[in-house]
Amino acid sequence: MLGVAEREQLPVQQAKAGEPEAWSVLFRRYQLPLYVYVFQLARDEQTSLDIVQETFLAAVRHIGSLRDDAKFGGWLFGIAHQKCAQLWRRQNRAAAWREEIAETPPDLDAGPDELLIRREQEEEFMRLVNELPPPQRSVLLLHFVEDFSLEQIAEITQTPLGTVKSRLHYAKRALRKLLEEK
Amino acid sequence: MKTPREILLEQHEAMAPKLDALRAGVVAGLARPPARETMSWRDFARSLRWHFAGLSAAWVVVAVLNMGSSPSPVAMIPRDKMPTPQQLWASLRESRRLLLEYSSDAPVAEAAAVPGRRSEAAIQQAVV
Repeated sequence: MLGVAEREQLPVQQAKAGEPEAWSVLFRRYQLPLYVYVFQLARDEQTSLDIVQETFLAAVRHIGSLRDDAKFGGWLFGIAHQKCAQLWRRQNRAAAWREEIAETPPDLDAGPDELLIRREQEEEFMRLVNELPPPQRSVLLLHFVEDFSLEQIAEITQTPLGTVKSRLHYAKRALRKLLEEK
Repeated sequence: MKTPREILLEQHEAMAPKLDALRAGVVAGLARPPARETMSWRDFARSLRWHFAGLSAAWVVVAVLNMGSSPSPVAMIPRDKMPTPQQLWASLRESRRLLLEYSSDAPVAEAAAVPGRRSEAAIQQAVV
């Protein structure tokens, strides 16, 4: 299944050639999803804006290392994810990142689109997302916000595929349980 | 009914103007040609000051090690066995006499070969 970013034609080649307008198009496309992802992990507006800016600057500097243009989105989120991880390390909260759950990868049947949330459940949904342990939250956000494939999420978070499957399974199960209860 | 993506993006829509400004700043930095850096010889020398300091220190170490490991021959002679100035002078006179004796057939008078003191010569001239 193609993710949101992979269905789009983005001017990555022009950006590689150093065209500012191409960069503007790319950044405009990703600025809000990227901010959402970073904010849900960092929980601070200014810190999140700083990380987004650092991510953009790092992308410009290292665009030469991107081999597959179709994976620009995942590559950009990967940079942001690393910066969030650095932030957590600086704050001595790395233990929370290591918080693990059962490694057995269950079968994942549902895509993000099948989960629909009623207006009265929105607040509860956001609360639950915020209560998830950071590793699960990270995987769930990447899955929801950009519809990244499990393989891409594994690349972005530099985590084994089995672990990603497991985290996503438990996060979605918790969400479903909440939505069924309401 | 909304998808989780829609809910998450809507939650942060208010940040769009700040993100636009942030993006504009980054892109403006791309559009600007990088400032050409000019460096005067003074700046260049200043940038190498640590290199010069390191090289100087290395030479000082080399010099110290060199002095410490190879003392001069004079320093190696024990002080009590060093010849006195009188002995040195006598040895020089003997060497000179022998040299003159070998270079000419006639024997050389020892006194003629040895120059007198300048102060004594002045006195002799005054007497004559």
